[in-house]
Amino acid sequence: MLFLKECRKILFSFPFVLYFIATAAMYFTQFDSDCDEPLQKPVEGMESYGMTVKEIPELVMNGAAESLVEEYLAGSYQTYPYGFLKNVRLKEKDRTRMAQIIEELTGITKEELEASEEYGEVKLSKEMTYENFKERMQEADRILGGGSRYSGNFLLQFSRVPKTYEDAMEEYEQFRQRDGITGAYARLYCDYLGIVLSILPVFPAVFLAGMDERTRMEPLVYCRKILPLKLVFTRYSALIAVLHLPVVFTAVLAHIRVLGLYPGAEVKPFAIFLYALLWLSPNILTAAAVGMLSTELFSGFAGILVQGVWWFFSVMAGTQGLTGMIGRFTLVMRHNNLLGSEIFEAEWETVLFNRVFFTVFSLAAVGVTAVVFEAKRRGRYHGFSFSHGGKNPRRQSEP
Amino acid sequence: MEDRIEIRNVNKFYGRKQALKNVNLTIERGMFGLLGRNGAGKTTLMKTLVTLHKKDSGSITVCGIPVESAKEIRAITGYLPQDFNMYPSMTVWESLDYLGVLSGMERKLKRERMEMLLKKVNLTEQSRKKVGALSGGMRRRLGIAQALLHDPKVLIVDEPTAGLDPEERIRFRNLLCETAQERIVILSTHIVGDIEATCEKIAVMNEGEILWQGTVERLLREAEGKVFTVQVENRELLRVKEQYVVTGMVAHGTSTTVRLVAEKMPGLGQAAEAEPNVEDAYIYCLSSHGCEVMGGEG
Repeated sequence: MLFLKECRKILFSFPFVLYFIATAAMYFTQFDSDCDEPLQKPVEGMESYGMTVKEIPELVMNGAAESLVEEYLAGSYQTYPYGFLKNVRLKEKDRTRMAQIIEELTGITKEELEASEEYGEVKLSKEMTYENFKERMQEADRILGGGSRYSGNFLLQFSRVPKTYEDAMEEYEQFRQRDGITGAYARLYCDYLGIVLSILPVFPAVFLAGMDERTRMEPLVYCRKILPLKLVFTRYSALIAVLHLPVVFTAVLAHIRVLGLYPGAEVKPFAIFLYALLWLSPNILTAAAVGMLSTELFSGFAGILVQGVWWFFSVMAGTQGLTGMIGRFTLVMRHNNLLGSEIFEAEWETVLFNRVFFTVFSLAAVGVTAVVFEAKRRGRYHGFSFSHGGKNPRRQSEP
Repeated sequence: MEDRIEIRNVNKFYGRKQALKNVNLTIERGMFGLLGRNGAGKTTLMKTLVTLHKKDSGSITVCGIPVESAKEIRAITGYLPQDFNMYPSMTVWESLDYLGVLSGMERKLKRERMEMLLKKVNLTEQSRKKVGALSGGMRRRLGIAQALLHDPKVLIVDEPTAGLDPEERIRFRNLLCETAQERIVILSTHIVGDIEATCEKIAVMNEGEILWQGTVERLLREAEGKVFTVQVENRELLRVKEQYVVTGMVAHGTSTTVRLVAEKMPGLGQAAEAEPNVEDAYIYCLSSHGCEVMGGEG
């Protein structure tokens, strides 16, 4: 009963209409435009089948060592700690340690290294194992403050090789068989929609959470006997249900679009819907929870700012790699590729951890929202307004 | 369950400012008026009674339930705040229905009471109208309907007639009196006329303190022999206003009939003792308690 009434409040609101339009726009301008042609089966004898990343230890180690020497000599290292390019210059102590790492990798001493501005071919020490190498790279990355080319998965970027016909065929078969076509499109669909669904839900959430205060309905709601947890969770559930409508709408469209591209092909009928539920729902849950909690805490439109900053950094972090860009705490997961299901599958545990983490985080945030709601209801907390020196002007108590 | 509100030694602070000072009141079934200027602490006291503010010390029980038991208190109190509105996009019916759900009302009972209350507040024809399209008076009447929806034992109305035209004000007062037959109704106001027309028992509040409490009749009795009318030349007016607490003036060309409150007959022109009305008695109450009263100003 209350759930339906709350749904209605959101459904006919201006922010929800905008949310729906913006989500649909993302679908049509990005995903739909990527579905103009079906993925072609590789033909033997083609000049190129593109490049692929393969973990070939020799390539990884040589490429990374060469890059490290180059950056050492340049005295500047490129890192992307929050998705933004940062040129790191090391202090003498760290510089010396970096030289030691290079020496451990290549046998080149600091003095030899600094004797000339350029160093020719870099050869790795014969004793250097791949495991030892990765440990040194971890340390180098730590010295650089994280986000360098020598961290985790980014090391693999040193090992890009041209695809063979067999590689291309194997990928294509994975696309047809393991992904059942729709599975691959589901990842692409979630990649695009995930960007907007990590920020847009905050608008209807802030609208709903601030509605009582804006319309001066608060005292009438506050003096009812409903429990805070029941009211806040019902409102949140209604919000989440309504916010999923454009997801259902675009998922159906995406499914139909993919069926149209591959007439008669055998596809996984629920792949897009399942991916949407697992991948996109936690994004919606999170943005909506942050919107509700921030509005309850700070009043006004602070929730949009809070979520906006988080979203911005998360999206920027994704610019390092659009394929398989999945971290344990990455809000906006990226996999902007129809192929590469093996990369995604290799990260499956991380994906699960990530999505469960954001779901639990959201529910906890809503729980805190209920606590803040009750504190405001009992006159123990009056909201914090940044623009009024911490005091909420609408809640100044009058004797 | 006893039909009584007991307020004992209640204090409330907003930072350093003390909004309620050792308030003691006993309120029984029927209409009770809380009279005081704007900023006297009436709203704070009302909000404390409906659990929207916490007191800093003292005790309050509403029909035997301590005010700390918020859920129970909310179930038996109805509140019409001074400054309120409802979702403008909802209709009158939808608004009441929504608030009824928040009160945990059973569906059939809710529907019956909504129909009954809309009829009572004369809003049946407006039930499908959006709240945003209602006049101020209609919105106030809808306010009283929502406060009575869950059939509370206590109804608390804060400045309900502010901004209403005389006809709406009379209609509203009558409505309050009708509802007071079966419950405690607390009317908090700075408009003396509202108290005079509806309440038998009242309390006068000033700067967070209860200055006086008792029946309206006693308040009037205490002002007997303290209210006078005096005819003065217009040029004398300023001096009269400086010397006395003036509660009314009627101009007649070059002279004015001044109604004033004083401990003894003023030694001015043609002075005569007058029968006090509630407004005179309220002003006398304030001035006799040492409050600064600017009766003749403005």
